[in-house]
Formats: sequence, structure tokens, C-alpha cells
Amino acid sequence: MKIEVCIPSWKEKKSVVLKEKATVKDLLDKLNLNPVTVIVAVNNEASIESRILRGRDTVKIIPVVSGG
Amino acid sequence: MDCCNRNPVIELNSGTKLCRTHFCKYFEKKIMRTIRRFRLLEKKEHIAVALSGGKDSMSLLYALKNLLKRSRKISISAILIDEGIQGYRSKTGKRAAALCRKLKVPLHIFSFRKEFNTTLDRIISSRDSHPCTECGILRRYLLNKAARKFKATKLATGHNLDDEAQAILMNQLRRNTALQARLGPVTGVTTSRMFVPRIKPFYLMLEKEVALYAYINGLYDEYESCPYEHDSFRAVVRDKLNDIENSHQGAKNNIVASFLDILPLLHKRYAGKDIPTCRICGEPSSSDVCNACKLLGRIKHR
Repeated sequence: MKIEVCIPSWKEKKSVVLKEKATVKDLLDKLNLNPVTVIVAVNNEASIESRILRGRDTVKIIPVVSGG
Repeated sequence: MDCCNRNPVIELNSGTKLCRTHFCKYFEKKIMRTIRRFRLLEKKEHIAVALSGGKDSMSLLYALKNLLKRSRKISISAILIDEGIQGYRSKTGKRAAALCRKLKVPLHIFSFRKEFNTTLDRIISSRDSHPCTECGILRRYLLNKAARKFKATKLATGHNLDDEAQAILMNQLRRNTALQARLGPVTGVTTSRMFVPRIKPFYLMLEKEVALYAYINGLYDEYESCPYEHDSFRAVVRDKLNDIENSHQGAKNNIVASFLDILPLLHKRYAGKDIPTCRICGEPSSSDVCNACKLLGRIKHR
């Protein structure tokens, strides 16, 4: 299935192909992102890593790390 | 905490899953527990919140205002420091000002340009600069001065558990034992009338929890990164620590908890005497000339 993914560092949304019943955690693994460092919003709702994604879901990934 | 378990937004280290409503309740209860445990507030206070427009300080102001709304003896104002970082501070500053208007909190803005006749952009244009160290020195100096000017009894900062765990590790890696004694939920091993005590109500909050609270309450959905942050030693420690936390859940909590075990010993070892004042600016300083004046002197001669 195809998931629309938006990350602030990307200039535009990208489609990511995942297997059926893939979870938020699977998506983060595919993008090589540490779940500790991001919030994931699925269709504008914050979600936990075990949430199962569906085709046409829109996922926004927001980094949480800050400070210098 | 029991939860309706509808659309969970977070899974805590304990395995408990919370929906947005119960997460916010859990988060705000944890702040109150932190305030009580470390005696961060007295019954009568004027809290100055150090507001940057980032997720931590925005959440702090929002949560404190919400939690203390029934208290007639506690007032809240906000202080924003404009360091002069082009394209960054203007955005976050607007966001901070909008929140203050919404919450009806007085906002006081101080700038490096007005106070020091320079900007961070100009300071770090020199090749031998350390942006985060230099910004931190001047920001802390100015926050204290501003808080004192407005007769604040406490200066609240948005430092969270991640910040503290990073600082502890950084001090260990550099063998800065005396600096460790200056960490903790209430800052300062010495007392001085010139120094407004700094408190950290988010001391036990993970950075991710703070960011989630901010996101849920509409305070944060676009990541704004300071253009200088990647240059810092802290950024290196932060990234390593996040990798460790991912493979060893609870590591950050354990670093801070074990630090709290030894903090009384550090306080005893580095028990402060009265803080002398800087002979140039008259602000509190651990040496004859404070770090801010030393830095400003160096900048002049660059």
C-alpha cells in the first residue's frame, strides 16, 4: 500500500510503499527514524507506534529534538 | 492512570496507553507532582516564564497558566530574549507573542542588540566562536536581569528530562563536577538577592511528552530549528542518548534519577558562599568578572 508522508525537512509530501497492515513503527524503520525523536500524526491525529496504517493515510512526522 | 483507550496518542514506558485527554491530565498531574516534590513554588509567587516560542517554553507557559489559574497569590509573566538570529527568532517570537495575547500574560522582550549592542549572528561570525555556549551565557545573564527588573520571585524555564540527562552526561564527559552541582530542578548552589532562583517544572518530563502536549494543544506543529544547534557538543550527546533510549527504554530517566541521588552530596561539596558581584556590570558572578562581561570583552577584541 502507498502512504503519503510529510516531514518538515522534505519540501513536499512523498509516497512511501509499505506492506499491508504495516504499523507506524514499520514506517519509521523504513525511513530510518528513531521513534524517540519524533511525533507521528496520522490524518492529523497523534498516534502510537503500534497503530496499523491504511492505504491513503496521510502521515506527518514532526521532530521533537531541540536545543543547542 | 486509567484511560478510555480510544485513539491512544502515547505509550508510556510502563506500557500504559493514553488518549489525548488522559495524556494531558497525566502530563499536568506530573507537573504538579514535580512542583510539590522539589518545592518549586511557595504559596505566593511571581513567576517569570522564560519564553522562546519553542515547544518547551510554550507548553510551560500554557500548562502553568492552566494549572495555576485558581491561585490568586501566584502571578505569571513571560520574558523573551531576542538573540538576533535572522530568520529564526522572528518566527518563534511572533508565536510566543500570540500565545501571551491569548493567555493574557504580560510579555517583556529583551534583545542582545539593545542590551549588548550586538547580535548572535554577529558574535558567531568569528571563526573561534561557540554559538551555544556564547548564546547561553548572554541569555542566562539577561534572563536573570530581566526577571529581577520585573520583581519575579522565580524564573521558570522549559528544561525537560532530556535536557537534564544531556547536561549530566556532558559534565561527566568533561569532568565538570562543580558544574554538576549547579544542575537540578532548582538551580543554584548559592543564594543571592541578585539571583532569581530558576525552576524547572518539566524536570521529569521526557522531551517527547512535552512535544506531544504542545502538539495536542495546538502550540507546535512546525519544527523550527535554531540554525546553530548542530554545531554543539550537546547535539552530539543528545543524538547518542536518543539511540541509547531507543534500545534501552528508561535510560534517560535512570540517568536523572541516579543524579538526584547524589545531588545532595554535590551541594554539600560545593556549598556556596555569598555570590560576589561582577566588578564591571554588578551582576552576580562566581568570579571577579562575570562570564557575560568576559565574553563581551573578547568580542570587542576579535
